[in-house]
Amino acid sequence: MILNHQEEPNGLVQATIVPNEANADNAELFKEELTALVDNGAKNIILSFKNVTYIDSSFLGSLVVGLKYAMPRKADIYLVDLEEDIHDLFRLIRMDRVFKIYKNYNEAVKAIQ
Amino acid sequence: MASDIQKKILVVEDNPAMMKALQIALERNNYVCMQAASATEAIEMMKTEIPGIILSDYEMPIINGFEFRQILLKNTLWRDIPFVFLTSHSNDYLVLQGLNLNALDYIVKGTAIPVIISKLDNILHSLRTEQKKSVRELRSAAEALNAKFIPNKAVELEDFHLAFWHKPFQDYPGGDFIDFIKIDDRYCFVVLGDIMGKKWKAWFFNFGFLSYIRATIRFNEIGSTPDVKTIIQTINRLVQLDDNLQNILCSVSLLLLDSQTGRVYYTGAGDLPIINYNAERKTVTIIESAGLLLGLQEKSSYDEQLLTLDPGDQLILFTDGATDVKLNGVKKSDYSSFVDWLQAYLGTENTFDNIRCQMIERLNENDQIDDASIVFIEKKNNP
Repeated sequence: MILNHQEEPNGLVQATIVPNEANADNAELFKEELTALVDNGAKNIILSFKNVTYIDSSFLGSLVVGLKYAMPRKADIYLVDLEEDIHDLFRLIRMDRVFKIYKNYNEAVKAIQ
Repeated sequence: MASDIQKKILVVEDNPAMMKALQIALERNNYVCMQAASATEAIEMMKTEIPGIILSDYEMPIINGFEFRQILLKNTLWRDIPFVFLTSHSNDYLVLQGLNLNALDYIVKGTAIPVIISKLDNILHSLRTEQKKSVRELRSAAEALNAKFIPNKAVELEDFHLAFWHKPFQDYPGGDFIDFIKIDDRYCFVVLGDIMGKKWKAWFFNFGFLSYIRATIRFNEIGSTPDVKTIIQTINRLVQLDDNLQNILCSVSLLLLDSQTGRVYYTGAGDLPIINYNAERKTVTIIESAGLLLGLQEKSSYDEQLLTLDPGDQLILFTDGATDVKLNGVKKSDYSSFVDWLQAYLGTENTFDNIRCQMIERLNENDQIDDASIVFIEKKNNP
């Protein structure tokens, strides 16, 4: 299991990436679990990176594929609790223009409302 | 012998004394030892961390070793992990049953621990040798098909010095690609790309992306002034239309060098910002492109930046494998530290040779975690 998740009312899902290293070993499973959340009716997925100390390009690719899967199904993904260097990486490769990134869960919920 | 990454072992053993003895011996022999007291615990562990080899007891409560092996064989992520049984039985029927489940070996408890370690080392060594052989064969086949993603050497230009360094992750042909496409005596394109994925999968998709890049550059050359922004937009559109590349993403830095004017036109798609060293002012500037990864959105917009290089000025392009390292066992992406590190070598005599030598040391086998590539461009001091 890569995502530990909790369902809230109105299609809101709070999901936390479990491993510290988000890498090629767990990218495929992560993609399956993320798309399954969308298939099960999630509309706003708040994805916490609080455990993640490193993300590689394979995992980043799965994250983008997850977003591309979610958008036509009227679902959205919000990223929260990013360590500074991971947030920097998102900025450096312009992924901050692709994902909605918030400081924490509460801020993401506020933005959704 | 096998590399450290392959020497991550999962030991599944419900006897604490046996587990402790194995753990001490394995760690003494450079194995990273994941420990599970049951098959259920092992399965939970493997959901977040994949070992290089599994050593599993046969006699365990609830799920025994054979049942555990059968569960693994049904899972695409786990079925190919080398598997060795450890058991107190030496019954031929059980041995055969285990080997029929594609277990690589069958070790009887009571075997001296150094012998167990030696057997595991031999298994990993044989697999590594076999893997290297397969890589070599595949490489030759790919070269025969002209599917070459890293050139043998950089092209020679009259006004620019071009060089590159590339180290694939664990010697697999991987996701990075480099190309120098000389159009005529005036124009030359420099391409550095990285497919978002690893090993074979990335290597396979390299072919698709690089084919589109090469073809678009060649078509653009016909009857018009080269224009990097239009080229990258076209490549992105082509990638979007290709069903085989759906959900495959790629970063690219694309530069056009104009020998006549010393100008460099730069565009990028989700690439790391490039480094520009100004020789006269001895300053370093970080230049960011605006484009998103190729394959991400059909209507992505891309920019084009004009850089004018004077003699001695340098540009450095690199992929994330150059910036990501493992420090004290912890993997980190640290672009800023890499740029700080790089600055010491910019503007020195033999800048590129210095960087290349230092990179080899920096990314020794234990520290490298992805394909690493660096492309170096310097305006020559021609009279």
